[in-house]
Amino acid sequence: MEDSTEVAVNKFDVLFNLAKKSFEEIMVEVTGEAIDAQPEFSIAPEDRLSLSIIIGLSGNTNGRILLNTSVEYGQNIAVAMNFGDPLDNEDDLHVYLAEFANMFCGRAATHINNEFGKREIWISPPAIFSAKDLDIITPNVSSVRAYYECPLGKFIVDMGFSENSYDDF
Amino acid sequence: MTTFSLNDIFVQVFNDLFSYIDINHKFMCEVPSSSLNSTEEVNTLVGISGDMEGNVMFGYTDKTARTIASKLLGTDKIDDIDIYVKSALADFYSEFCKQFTYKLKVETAFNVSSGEKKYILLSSNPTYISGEDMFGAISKVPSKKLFFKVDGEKFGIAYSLEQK
Repeated sequence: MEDSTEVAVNKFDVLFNLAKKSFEEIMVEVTGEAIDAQPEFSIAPEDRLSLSIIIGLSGNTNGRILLNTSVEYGQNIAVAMNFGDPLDNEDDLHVYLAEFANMFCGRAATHINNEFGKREIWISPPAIFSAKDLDIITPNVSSVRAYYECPLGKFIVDMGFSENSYDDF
Repeated sequence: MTTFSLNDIFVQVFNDLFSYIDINHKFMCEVPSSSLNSTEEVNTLVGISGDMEGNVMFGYTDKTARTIASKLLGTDKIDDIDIYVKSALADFYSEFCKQFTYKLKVETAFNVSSGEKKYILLSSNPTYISGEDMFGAISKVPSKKLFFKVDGEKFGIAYSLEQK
């Protein structure tokens, strides 16, 4: 008989695999090329402005999805979504990336809720941050990461789960 | 159609929590909305989902982070913003959002003209964000920003919440 910790770990594996599948599907739709997770790498912070998209997860499982990349790679995504045309103005970058994150996390929520046959998670709208030395920490979550490198750049999908609920009263 | 203001609920919860940890505080003003928020030195983001969805971002100075953390951890001085400090701050803002969603549920139950409705409102794990020359967008539509003074320092709450 599985203990509760083992069940939780298995559940997190299922959730993470569905999130990875969603990211890969959306990247195919945006770039037209299939991508696979790769060995760990880093996105050099010293020569790039970091960019992170944060999407909160709540419901039966609490946590967050973090998509880490750089502003340069984020612009590549935005241009690909704009059918290869340059963006009209700089602020559009956030609009395109928010839409990309909505597509990715919306797909992940659909896959997850279908897999569990009920409303397992709720997602909050994406928030996008860019900075030098960007430091993003979600305390009390254990996270797992998948690394992707493709013609558009380098992307790290980081999914964190917490065992305690932040919604209980 | 609701007959209460989200701003009032934010201010009420802000006053309750900062009074509880005994730190000087005051609501200053609401500033014009923007879709691209200039952030503060230290920020904490909490996602809201359910019947209302969006993000709430708390922006404050490094000094305020240390002041709040020292009260929460029961120490006189915070030397480093380490994981324990970040965790304490995350719990504080999590409590803020729990109280906010609770009050919102109560207000909604009594003030929706179309009849009582049981709201589902969930908040996600708070995320601590800092960096140099940081920019952030918490929604595609302009968000609201409330300014407070905490122990003489600037403190902001930017939020974007939409009813589904």
